[in-house]
Formats: sequence, C-alpha cells, structure tokens
Amino acid sequence: MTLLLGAGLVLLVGALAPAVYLGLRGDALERLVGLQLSGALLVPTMLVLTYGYDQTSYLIVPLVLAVLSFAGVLVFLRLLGNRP
Amino acid sequence: MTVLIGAGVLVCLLSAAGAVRARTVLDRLHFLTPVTSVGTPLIAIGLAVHAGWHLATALLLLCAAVMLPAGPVLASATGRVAHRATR
Repeated sequence: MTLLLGAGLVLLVGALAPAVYLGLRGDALERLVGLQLSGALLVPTMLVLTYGYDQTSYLIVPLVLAVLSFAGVLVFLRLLGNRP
Repeated sequence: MTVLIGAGVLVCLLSAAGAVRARTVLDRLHFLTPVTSVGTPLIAIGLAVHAGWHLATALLLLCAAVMLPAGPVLASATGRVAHRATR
C-alpha cells in the first residue's frame, strides 16, 4: 500500500465515518451539519485516492462534488429556514 | 509532499473528532471550516508538489479553490438558520 492510499484509508475511516455518524443522528439541522462535513471530507479523500490509484482523469469527480455539495447544502438550508 | 499531505489529513481527522465531541450545532460548525479552508488546500498543494505541473494539477488546485470559500459561506448560512431556530 502506498502512502497516498494509506492517507485515503485514514481519511475514510478516521474522518468520514464520524461525519457520516453525525449525519445520522440529531435533529434536521444537526444532520445537515453532518452532511456538510461529509461532503467537505469526501473531496480531499477522493483527491488523495485519485493520486493513490494514479488515475488523474477521476479528478473531475471531486470537483463536481465540491460544487454540487455547496449548492445542495444551500438548498437544504433554504428549505430548513422556511420551516414554521 | 508527505508533510503537507500529513498535515492536511491531521487537520481533517482533528476536525471530525472535534465535531463529534461538540454538543450544539453552533459549536459543531466551528469544525467545518478548517476542513475546507486548511485541510483540503494543504492536501491539494501536497499532491500538486508530488505530481508536478500538469493540466491535472490545475484541476486539483481548482478543486481546492472551489472548496476554500465554500466552508465559511456555508458555516455562516447554517449559523444564521441555527440561531433563528434557537431564538
């Protein structure tokens, strides 16, 4: 296992798993924070894994995820903010 | 390269651990920004140093540049909604 694949594994297990756990418990706003953290952590994880597997054509995936995660969370925030 | 990527991974790990330990939404939001504003750029710069200058490196740095302002903007928007909900 190369250093980059090891870093990706550490990010997946040590950072992404707690973020997903946060996204599964609490009220709607707490789960949304878990979703934000999961999206924010998945991007560097994918970057590291892309270079770990030496497939730079996969770099479009974390770029699209970064843009869509930002827009998606803003939409969720708007929906949650309009709740009575 | 190893130091930059290691530092970025460490920032991400500590942020995730801090977010799990925090009790309220507003406390938890403080741990979102380091991931996007410190951890991801550190990892991207480390990977750019590792790979050298290619078109893929520009895509990698663009990815970090998109993430850089997204964290504070989302944290402030979420904080506003959370503040309104707790009022």
